[in-house]
Amino acid sequence: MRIKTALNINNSKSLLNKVLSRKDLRWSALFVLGLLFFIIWNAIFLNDAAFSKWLSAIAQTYLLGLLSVILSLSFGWIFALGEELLFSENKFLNAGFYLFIDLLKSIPQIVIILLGYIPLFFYFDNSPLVQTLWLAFVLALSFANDVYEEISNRIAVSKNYGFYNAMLALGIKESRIINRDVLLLNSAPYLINRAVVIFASSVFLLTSADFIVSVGLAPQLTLSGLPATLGNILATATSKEDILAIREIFADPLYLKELLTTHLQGISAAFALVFTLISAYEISNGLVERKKLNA
Amino acid sequence: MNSARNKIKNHFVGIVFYGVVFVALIFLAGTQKEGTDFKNVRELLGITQTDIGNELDMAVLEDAIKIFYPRKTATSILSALKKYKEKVLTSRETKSGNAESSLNAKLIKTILLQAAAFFAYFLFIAFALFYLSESFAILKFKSRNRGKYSVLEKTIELFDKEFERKIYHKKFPYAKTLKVSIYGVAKALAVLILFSPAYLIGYVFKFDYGNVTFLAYVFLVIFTNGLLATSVNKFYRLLETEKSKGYVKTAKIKGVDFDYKNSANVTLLRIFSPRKYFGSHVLNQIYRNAHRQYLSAFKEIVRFQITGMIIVELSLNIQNGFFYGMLKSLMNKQYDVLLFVLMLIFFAVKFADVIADYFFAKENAKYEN
Amino acid sequence: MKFSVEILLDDLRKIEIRNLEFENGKINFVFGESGVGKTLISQAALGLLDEKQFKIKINGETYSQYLSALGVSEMIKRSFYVFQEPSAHLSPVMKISEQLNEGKIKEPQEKAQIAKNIFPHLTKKEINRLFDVYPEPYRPSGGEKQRVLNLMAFFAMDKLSFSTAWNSLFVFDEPTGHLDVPLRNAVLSELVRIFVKDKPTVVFITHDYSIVSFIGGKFPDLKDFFNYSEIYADGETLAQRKFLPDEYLKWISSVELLKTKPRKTVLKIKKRIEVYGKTLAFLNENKTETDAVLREGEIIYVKAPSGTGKTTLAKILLGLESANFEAEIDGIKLNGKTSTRVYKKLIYGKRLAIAFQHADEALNQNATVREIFEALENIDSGSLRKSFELLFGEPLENFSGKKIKNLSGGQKQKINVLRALSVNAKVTILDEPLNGMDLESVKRTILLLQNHIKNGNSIILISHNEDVFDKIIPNKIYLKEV
Repeated sequence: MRIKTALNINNSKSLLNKVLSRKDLRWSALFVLGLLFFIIWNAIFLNDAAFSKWLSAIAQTYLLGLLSVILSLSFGWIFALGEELLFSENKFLNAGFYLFIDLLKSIPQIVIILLGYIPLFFYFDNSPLVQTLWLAFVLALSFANDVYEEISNRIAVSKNYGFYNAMLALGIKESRIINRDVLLLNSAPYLINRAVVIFASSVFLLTSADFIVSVGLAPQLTLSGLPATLGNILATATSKEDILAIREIFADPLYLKELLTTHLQGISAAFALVFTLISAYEISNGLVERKKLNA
Repeated sequence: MNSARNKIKNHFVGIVFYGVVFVALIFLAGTQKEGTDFKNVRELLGITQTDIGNELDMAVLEDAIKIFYPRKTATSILSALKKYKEKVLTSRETKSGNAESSLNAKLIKTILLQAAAFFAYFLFIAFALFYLSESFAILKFKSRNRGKYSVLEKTIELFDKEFERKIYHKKFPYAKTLKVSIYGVAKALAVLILFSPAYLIGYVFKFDYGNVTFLAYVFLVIFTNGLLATSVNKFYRLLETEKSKGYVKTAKIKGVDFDYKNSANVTLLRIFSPRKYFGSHVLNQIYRNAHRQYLSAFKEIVRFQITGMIIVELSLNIQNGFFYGMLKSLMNKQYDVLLFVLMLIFFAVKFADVIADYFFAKENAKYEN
Repeated sequence: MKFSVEILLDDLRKIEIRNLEFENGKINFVFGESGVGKTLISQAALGLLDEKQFKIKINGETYSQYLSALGVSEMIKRSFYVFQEPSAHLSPVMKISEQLNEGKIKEPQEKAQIAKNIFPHLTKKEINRLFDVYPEPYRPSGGEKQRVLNLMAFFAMDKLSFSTAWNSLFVFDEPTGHLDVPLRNAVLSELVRIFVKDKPTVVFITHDYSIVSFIGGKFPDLKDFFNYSEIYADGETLAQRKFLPDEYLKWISSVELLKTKPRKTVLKIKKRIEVYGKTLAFLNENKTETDAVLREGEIIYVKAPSGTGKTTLAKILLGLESANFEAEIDGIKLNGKTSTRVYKKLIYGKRLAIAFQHADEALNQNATVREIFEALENIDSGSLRKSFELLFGEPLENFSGKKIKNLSGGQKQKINVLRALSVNAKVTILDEPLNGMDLESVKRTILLLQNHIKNGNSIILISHNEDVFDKIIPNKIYLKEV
């Protein structure tokens, strides 16, 4: 069979065709398969201690990414719904809400996350659960504004050009219009796209913040309770050497073999991170193209 | 125009409000240098004459507490003790930080100078990023509209050629395969760099510890962390959205120049010109419409740019930078200094917002009657 | 000219028509419900669709084969297309005068004359001033923009020369939807005037059957140059059939007034309304200012020149547009300062309901028919079923699982109207309720209106379809800017 035809046929119901012809699904599959491949590869070439450290770092990073997605979607939803149904009826609440949002979006995300480390260092118990949840909360807070803007933008679109006012004027409850008609029936692809982007950004920012803190000024302040993330692994001296070794490849392309076996710890941590980011980018792009989401 | 003025007015309301809040907090943090939470612990240490740096002393004290207090109280005292110990040790190790613990005139001046330098870099990079992202996005748009396609599609075409070759016994297309492979590898490398965090690229190219020149810094901020990739994509999406709009169809039926292959209006020189103009080509309209929206969309990118700058500065340990001071004050719990830096960051972002809104309003005013 | 067209949409729906025929050298009026696919088919014929977005086959060839054929590419050079949404089809970053002067429409011979004919109320200077602006969302008005698009087609028709060697195809896709009757007639007259000179092939897509009355009455000598047909859904595919103008004319002369038994006053609007610095006034048939009064069991027809703000009036009453006005509806006083809370609690769905004019916008495209009606509170499902069957000729169950976006424009509009009527508010506003419907649906909708007022409900009807509503509604009021 010609591959080109396989990629182009839309009306065939076969799952494989569907996955191949849709960029978002293609990359989702590639992401999962790639991840499995890394795990198997690393299980073979890394020593047991390093492998379990790497695996747990990936798990912890993704777990935080997922929690951050769930929490930030909830925050954004609460903000948008509150604005629409509650705050707009009260001047002071309204002003307070906008000032809060103003602050949230005027502090760069990485700064919010670094500030979030303060209580972890100085005030919290070393319980991994509390620390993980707190970190997810901080991450989510830094993305809450994006979700809020997405949702209120969707509401505005259906208000200006759409069914929102038509339904409202027929006496249909606003909460139903927003939750069911605007969000569930009309915004799912937008929110899924947002979730993919937030997941990737969370992974990226978390890794960077952990890297900064681990490599930075006060190594004595490492978080004793929290499992390491990809960022912590990248900041270790071994990983650093592994990554420095990439340069050898420019002089001797065959050095690639060494990179993928002896220098595996740093390389695989770095690659897992970059691979996640690229996959998320492509999945999001595919989704935007396929569902024709507005830029 | 009115809504733009309102937006800018709102920014100033935010600036004034938070300016006051920050200043108040800074004073508050300055006066309450030492919290009361360690009072009990310090008293305890005073009574028992324990040296907190001495492991043996501490072990004895812990045992004593466990004996003399009920279990719950003992646990809480012990954890307070542990934190106090960490705090004391930290401040012992970072003596320099401890010495300039409060916000004085000299420190303010240093921070302001750093902030000014940061802002100058920030503006330079923002303009460069804006220009580069538009140019590359148009380049991509042009090549997609000429019928050029992705590496994947090119590879598939090769396989299809192979299929044809088998049927018709033709020669294998070596030259084409080589071309596609080189293109594929180059693209993969480019994608890897564009999506790598700055510190990975910094390591690979050995930009580290004072080794970061201005150019390297700018390169890292723009070309890594996915910043350029996402901003090019953003503008490319706007172009694509515009392309499917009704006025483009009207232009098409009017017989306006739609040729992306040979038209003298869409040369490389015109695409990379700072003042982009594509004559009577339909791209001119598509570009102007997209450009108008990109100005406001760019605000989001600018926030991410600041994040990128912070990551480059902190992860590569660029000493004496603006954010390096922030991280130091954070680690040393100099909350007044931290708040001061935060206030400046807040102002910087707000100022960037104002600039973006100003350009947006200015661009839009062109098309108002 | 014959076309067999197959278009596969990306959500797997297919639009297919065999042997669609346009007669050469004539004005082909094509009627039918909106949204069945007339637009896509005619755009496909002129190479205006994106091959990446749709899979298209024309006359058995792939799209690119079709477009690269010499006959077709030469035809496209001699063709034009007037799109139906005027706002989207003008570039916001070029002045209108520039947009009227590029490509094949540059410098036509009769430029000034044509412009004057379709902007009859403006002087030459005013026309130039109108063209010397960038199109903004609300300025120029939708009607003005629509006439600009028509102008482009007329310029092209005027400029190009048509010989028998190559075909030409001028498609006007609902080109008068934003115009009131006098302006619509001005555009139609101009079309006929320019057409007569060289007689290119023209396709005029519309669902406005009243065009028949005008064309027949005004140009009896040119009868042989007009061809009427209807496109309709025949099972899964589309088909074309002859449309007989006389049948329509017979029907329209036979429709009767709706029967009303007015009772006590339910709505009263003070005679003057201030909105956006404009003052609107209600006038009675004697052209004197008056309060608008609506009684229970009554229907009132609001008439106004296009661009006066008929839709704005509806929005003002619903508190969706800020204005200075006074009204009283079933004991509740309304004015520009009434809070949204009052509207939500006492007005919406209880005292006032509305069907907005564009069903595409008023209905959630991703909802199913069932979900559309489920969202309404306290509706009588028995009478809903009955009304649905009256409108569609089929039981509700046949439709309930279908998504709105997969229905035709006429079906959407019927659901839009039915939804508004079935909440049984004291007063229902219907804004262009016949938009996009075919003749059969028009007849059925009129029956539904009759049933609704018989039950003691009241209707405010906003429309420029005077052909029908002048005939059936005795009670009229005029809205005018003063």
